[in-house]
Formats: sequence, structure tokens, C-alpha cells
Amino acid sequence: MDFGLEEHQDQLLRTAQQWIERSWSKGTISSSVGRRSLWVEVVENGWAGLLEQTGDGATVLDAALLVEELSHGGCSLPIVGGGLLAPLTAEVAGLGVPAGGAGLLAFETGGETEPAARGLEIFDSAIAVRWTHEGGSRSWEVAEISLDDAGLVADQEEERFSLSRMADAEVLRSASWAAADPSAMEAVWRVGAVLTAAELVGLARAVLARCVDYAGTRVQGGKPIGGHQAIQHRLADMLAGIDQSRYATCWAAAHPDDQMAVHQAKALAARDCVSAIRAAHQVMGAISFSAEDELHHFHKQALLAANEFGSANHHWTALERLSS
Amino acid sequence: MHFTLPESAQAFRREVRDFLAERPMQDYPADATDGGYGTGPFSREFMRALGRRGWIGLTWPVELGGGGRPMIDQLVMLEELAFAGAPFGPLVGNDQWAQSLIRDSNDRLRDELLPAIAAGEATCWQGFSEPDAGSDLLALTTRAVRDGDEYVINGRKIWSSEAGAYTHGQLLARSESIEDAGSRANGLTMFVVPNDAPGLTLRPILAMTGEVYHYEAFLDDVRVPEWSVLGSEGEGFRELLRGLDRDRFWGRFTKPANLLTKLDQLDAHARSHRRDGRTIIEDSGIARRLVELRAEAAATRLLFHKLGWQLSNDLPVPYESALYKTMADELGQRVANLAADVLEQDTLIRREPHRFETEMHHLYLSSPGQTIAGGTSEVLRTTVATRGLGLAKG
Repeated sequence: MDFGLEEHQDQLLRTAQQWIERSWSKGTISSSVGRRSLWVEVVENGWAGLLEQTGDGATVLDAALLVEELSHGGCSLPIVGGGLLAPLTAEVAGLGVPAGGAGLLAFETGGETEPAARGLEIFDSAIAVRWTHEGGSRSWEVAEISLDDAGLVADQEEERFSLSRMADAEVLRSASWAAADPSAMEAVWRVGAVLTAAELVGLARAVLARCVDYAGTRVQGGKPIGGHQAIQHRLADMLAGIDQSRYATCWAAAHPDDQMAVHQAKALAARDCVSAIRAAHQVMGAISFSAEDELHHFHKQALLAANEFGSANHHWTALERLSS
Repeated sequence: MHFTLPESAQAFRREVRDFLAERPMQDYPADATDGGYGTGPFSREFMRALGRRGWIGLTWPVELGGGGRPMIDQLVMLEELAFAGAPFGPLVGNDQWAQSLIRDSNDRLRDELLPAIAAGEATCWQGFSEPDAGSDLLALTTRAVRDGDEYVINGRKIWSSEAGAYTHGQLLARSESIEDAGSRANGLTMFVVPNDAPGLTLRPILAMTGEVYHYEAFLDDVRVPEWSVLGSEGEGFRELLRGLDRDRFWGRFTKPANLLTKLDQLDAHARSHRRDGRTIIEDSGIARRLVELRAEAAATRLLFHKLGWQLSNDLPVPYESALYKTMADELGQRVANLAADVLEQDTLIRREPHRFETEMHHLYLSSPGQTIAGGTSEVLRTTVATRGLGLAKG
């Protein structure tokens, strides 16, 4: 076993860090125009489509490390859905993907609310995926849809990310749906679970760093609040949950066909990284629940990542089924 | 980053499994109780069997009688022993003792003890804590006074694991006054004292499990030769600190593997026993906790492998050993709580050895001590925050 980064992984993460430092600024990301221009840079960096079988041979572990690093840097672009999973899904379904990428819109057939996804406003088209439960398995269908005139409603335009829902169901009804191989799609969804776990780890690491910085500088009663054991122990617990999730995710990313490993990684990350971020509000006090501090962006993004490609509850239940 | 074992380690794993399959583990007589750390009880016969294979000194230098094997082989062996429920209680502590002797000891002490440790004949307990020096270890009052080419030790130690069953104690005593030494951390010396030294009395402490695991040691004019000093005179506390991260790592490395085995046993029991008109596993609360604890145990196992990789590459470990030790012990308590909910009142009924219920009884009643021994969870969380996260001490 070797827990150090390989040379190409180290290079990948350095590039990600440099890009975050150079390009990521609050002014740029607060508009859809800014996010579109940043997405062009993501494509130029070779990160969109990294996992395509026709790509450069990057592994799921490479992709997970990249996703963790980008989300740690505060990146809220739809790297997992639009960047990595949409091309992979299109490839499995025999569809082509535009060079600039496509959004990923995934939903269960017959759901009671409009399908929603992150970052759709960046793209002209989306790979739509829907599934139906039949007995103990799922059947899958995939279609490419145009996002022009699709009735997109951006609910979170003011956030660092955007969350859009499809208010016009006709676009989905009239799409050319094609059945996709269930085992191939389940494999794609396992990769999605691993990558969203990695995103959660990156977000939680970023939040812990913010908390440590705050606790070390926020003075109350004549000393930094980080000198109090109540705060110290809460931060230690955050670190425990993050470390546990981080290496469970790395292991799963190295074994994406191991169902148990993937379920465990996503369940742990969705439970413990979100818990860590919730705990951060308590450490940072009143400013943390105002929109004037950035913590709420991280929290909301984590909640989205926790529920994409299966929530914690979904994965615990899957583990119960696997062990029965 | 990769998670593949080298071929040599995989071959060694098979060798260990073959050895473990030769004889049922319960056939090895226990000479002391299981501390609940995932290493099982102490069986002298089992330790001798390991010694005959050269596995106690597996990683020691060849020129000192060791096997010269890489650390990953030792990790593989320990996990296999833990998965099998083998009675290897003193093995990891002894290895740390041996590593101290290899690193810091004088030739006389090393030459006398290493062969006996490698053969499974010499075993070591730790005499650090005192009645009024627990988490504040530097408050210890045991004194060692030089008298010619001997030291005379007087004092009292407590919570020494398996002291009555092992052969030697490793004791920390003040050999120079705080005033003369300049600080509480200076002037302390580490000694190796044989159990048959005149003036050493061991009092067993009955645990809430109904068994004896810890002892109190009384030292009344115990005389030891000057070559009994481990390391340098006055440097005992630094000697102890040097080994602390490694102690916490080795002391808990096998715990996740052991807990995974316990969870499998609990799972099997919950599927084969009924309560309230259904199998216990059909209780959704039980089923959910089982899969959650399995995931945590698997992840904690991985964290210990990561820490082992850091230590074997001499990388800094500012917080890892303190945090992962705490995580493993608190996980053990959650597994014990689940066992109590699966077994209900049977948790408190003592039965004959080598039964599932007996294992769970022991797991539950020994678990409260886990987060106290080897550094309380409270002290260790503070260590994580100050050493790991860089926060100021309160």
C-alpha cells in the first residue's frame, strides 16, 4: 500500500490549486456569465471528460482526488455531473457529447417534483437519465435534450452554484429516450457516488480550515475561542469524520466495482462531512448563519452533493440489502 | 496512491493463515485475560509458537536475531491474528519494548532480553501511571536513587496491564529532583525491572469484568543494576514520548480487524435468533447500526494502514495516532453497545469461555476502560486540536 500521491496525481492537483488561485474569485462566480467562462477553462484544463474511456486513461481515483481538490478550493462548478458523469453516461448510451460538455439531469421516473440539477445554465444541452425500479434492480433510459427553451428555472442564481429545475415537462416527454445497459449504468452511478463523496470531503476540509482559522483569531473573554476545550474537541471530531470519509472514498475510488466499498464511502461522507459542516455553524457562531459569511455556500453545496447519486440513507439501505 | 499489497506480503499472509489453521485458537491455554484491545488474551504457548517461527522478531535487524522483514509483513500478520481471534495479547507491546531496546539500550540489557523476547519467554508490562499521576504523568513520585553500581527504587505504580502474568516491568522513576533537573520533564529515568526482583509486590485489581487485567505495583527498596536503565539517565520522559505515537498506533492497529470479526458474529447471531416474533436482524434499528458500524470499522482499519505507512516512511504524524486511537476505542464502545442491544440481559451473564455470549460480555464490560487507558479521549482530542490543528493550549 502507498498512501502518497503518484507523480501524475501530484501534477493534477497542483494544476487544480493553481487554477483555483488564478481564476476563482467571488466576482466571477456570482453570475452565470462568469460561470460559463470558468467552465471553458475547466474544459481547456482537460478535466471535463477525464473519465471517458476514449480519454487519457485517468482512473476514478485520479478523478476523485481532482474533485476533492477543486471543492476544497471552493469550486462550485458542476464538475462531477457535467464534467465527468455526463460524458461517461453519453458514452455508455452511445450518444455523442458536445466538446464544451453537457449538463447531467438525473431523476426517477414518475417523481413528484420537477427534475433539478446543478449548473445547467452553463450548457446548451444536457444528458438526461431516468430510471425505474423493477423488482430489485433498475432499468435505465438516456436522452440528450436541448436546454434552449426548456423552461429552466434557476432557484439559486445568487449562490456560488446554481440549481435549476425543469418546469416544462414537455421537453422531457418529447425527448428520444434510449434504453441503456443496466450494469453499465449502475457502474456509472457508482462512480458518481464516489465522486460526490470526494466532493463532500473537499468541502468539509475547506470548512474545517475556516473553522480553525476563525477559532484561532476570534477572541472572547480575553483569549481565542480555540483555546477552549469545548471548541477544540468539536474540531477534533470534525477531523475524525473527514479523515474517515476521505480514506474510505479513496479506497472506493480505487475499487469502483466493489459495491460495498462504494456504498460505505458515500454513506460515510454524506453523514459525516455534512455533520462536520453543520457543526461548523456552532463553532463560528452567529456570523455563520448569515449570508454575509461564505459558510452557507459550502453547506448548501454539501447538501446537494450528499443527495446526488444516492443519499446516506439510500446507501445504508443498499448495504443492508447486500449483507442479507 | 495504491492499495495493493506487495506479492511478498500476500505470500506471507497465506503463510500466517496456514499456521493459524493448524490448530484451533481456543486450544491454546490463556495465561491472562483479554484486555479488549483486539489482541486477545496472553497465551504463553501461543507466544512460544510465534517465537519458534521467528515472527516475534519479524522486523528486527537480522544481526540482532530478527527477521529483517518490512513493516507491511508485520501489519499483515497482526491483522490475520486479530481476524482469527488468536491469543497474542503481549505481542505488540513486546515489540515496542524490543524496538526501544534495539534503539536505545546498552548492550548488556539488549543481549540479555532480546533473545528471550524473540522466543516468547520474556514479556513486559508498563509502570507509568501512579495513584496521583494519571493524565498528568509528570506528577509521578516514584524515586530511583543511585547507590554504587545499582539504583534503589521506591514508589507505587498502578494500572499496569498484565503485570502479574508477564516477566518484566518497564518503569519510569524520578532519578533527579525537579529543582536540580530544572523541569518536571527532566530527571526521569526508564528502568527495566524483573518481576522476581526483591521488594517488588504486585496487587491484582479485580475489574468489572470479574477478571484481573490490571495490577498495582509496590516498590520497596527494589535494587536493580545500573545497566537496567533503558536509554539515558534523566531522559526517561523523552524516551517515553518518542515511543508514544508508535505505542498508540501499535496498541490499536488490530482493533478494527477484531471489531469486524465481532460485527460478523453479531450479524450471524441476529439472523439466527428470534425476539418479539421475528429474527433480531429484522429490527431495522439493529440492521442499520450493523452496516454503519461495519463501514466505520472498515474505514478505521484503512486509517491505521495509512498511519502505518506514514510511520514506516518517517513522515510526521502530528495528530493521527491520537485521533485514530480515540476513534478505534469509541467505535469499540459503539460495537459493545450494539452487542448489549442484541443480547439484552444476556450481556451480563457470565458463561464458559469461547462462546459468542462470553465474548460479547467481555467486550461490553471491558469497553469503558478503552477510552481511558493509553490516554483519555479528552486529553487526546486536545492533542489533536493543538498538535494537529495548531490551536493554542487552553
